[in-house]
Amino acid sequence: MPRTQKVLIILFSSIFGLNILFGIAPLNEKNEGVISKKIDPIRWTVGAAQKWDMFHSIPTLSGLEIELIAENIKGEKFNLGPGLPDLKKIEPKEKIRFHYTFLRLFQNPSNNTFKEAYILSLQKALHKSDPNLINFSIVLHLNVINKIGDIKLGSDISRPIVQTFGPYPLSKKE
Amino acid sequence: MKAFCSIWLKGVDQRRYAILRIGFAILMLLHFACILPYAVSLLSHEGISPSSMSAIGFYEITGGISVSIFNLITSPLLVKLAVLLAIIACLLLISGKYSRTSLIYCFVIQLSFIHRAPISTTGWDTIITNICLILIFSPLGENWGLKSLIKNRLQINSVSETPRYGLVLIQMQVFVIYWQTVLQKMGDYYWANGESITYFFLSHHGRFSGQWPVNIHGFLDKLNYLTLLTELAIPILLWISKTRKIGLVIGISFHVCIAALGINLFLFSLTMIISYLAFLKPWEIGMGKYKNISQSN
Repeated sequence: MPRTQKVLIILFSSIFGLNILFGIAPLNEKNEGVISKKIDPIRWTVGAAQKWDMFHSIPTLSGLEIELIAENIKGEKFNLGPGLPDLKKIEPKEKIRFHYTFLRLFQNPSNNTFKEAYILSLQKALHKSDPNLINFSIVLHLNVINKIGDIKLGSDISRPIVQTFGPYPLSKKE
Repeated sequence: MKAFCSIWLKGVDQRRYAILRIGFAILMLLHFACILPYAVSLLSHEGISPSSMSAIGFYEITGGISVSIFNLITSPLLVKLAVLLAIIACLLLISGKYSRTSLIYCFVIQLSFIHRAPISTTGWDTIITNICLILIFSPLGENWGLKSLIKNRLQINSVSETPRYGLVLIQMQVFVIYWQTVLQKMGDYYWANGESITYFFLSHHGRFSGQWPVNIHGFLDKLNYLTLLTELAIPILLWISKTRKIGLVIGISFHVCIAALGINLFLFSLTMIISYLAFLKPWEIGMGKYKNISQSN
């Protein structure tokens, strides 16, 4: 093997190896300032992110349903699907990426840009489907798992919590 | 310095890379096939968010720059086509034809997906991206296809060697994945209190509904801590040649159980199992057998 190739391999491997080894530092706030904040943007950009938090935060929902309620000029309400582009109903349990997507959209404030983008996309799609619609809301039906001790004492496995986002107006300009 | 260089440059049988390439290609093929139904909704301009907003959102979450191909390709048809081409690239990767080009294309699509829809990603997306990036710069054992590997599985001579750095990097990655996740779990309320497995089975991930996890909470409480120990032990067992078989049995059983008892976790389990291929040294075992035979003769 040519010497240049050997040097390149050692250089690449050492840099990549170091990046991996730095990944052992947990992504908590104490360490974040030291390592993650500086190199995470580069890691994410090039595809070498070291974020391994699978199941570190245990799921506390036993179910999730998402509804889109639209209202027309006559005050009539329609239950539509929140899926885009066709306003289809979605099954988050079957399509797990939608489960993550909608929870992150509506439960995590750091994803506000995506939430705003989604609302804007919905406004366009709803106006296109029926120009008589005047507003809409997103309703999340969350089944939050009760404490294990409470379930043992006879509580249901989960309690329903309904969160409504909106109503969002549908602009006439759209 | 010589020892340090040897970590990366020591020669290994090319077929080790070939096995990893084929296993990883099969994983990516299934992964892209599963992404396809989401493609229009998550990646096109008719979907959940326009690409311009996604780029801002990606920066806000990660601090990184969105370099997604889906910022350029935005129509539903082209988005689907791009993902379909990735599936074809995986088939080429399995066959060993145009492997490097196929792998680069798959990486571009995978990275573009993460950059375009970061709020829709899962844990295995990051693992696949990282392994893909390492493999782009690694030997791929292109001379070996599935058929030739099976046909020549007992051959120990005349197989040229290649540097092992790609395999070592993936081994390191597996180590860090398990250890970082355990370190994080140790600071989590549910893991610290032994409630995580019970909650997992009661959650949307649980395959079998009902109150049964609560009835066996005492057992699941112990399983909670055993899971952490298992995750700590797997990479060590895989690393040491004498315990590799035990590591494989424990690791594969662990992930098969996750896939069987949980919903939507098949790809996660498969990703981890495929990553174990970087630890396998089948021809060293073969060489041992060969030596014994030749000595006895």
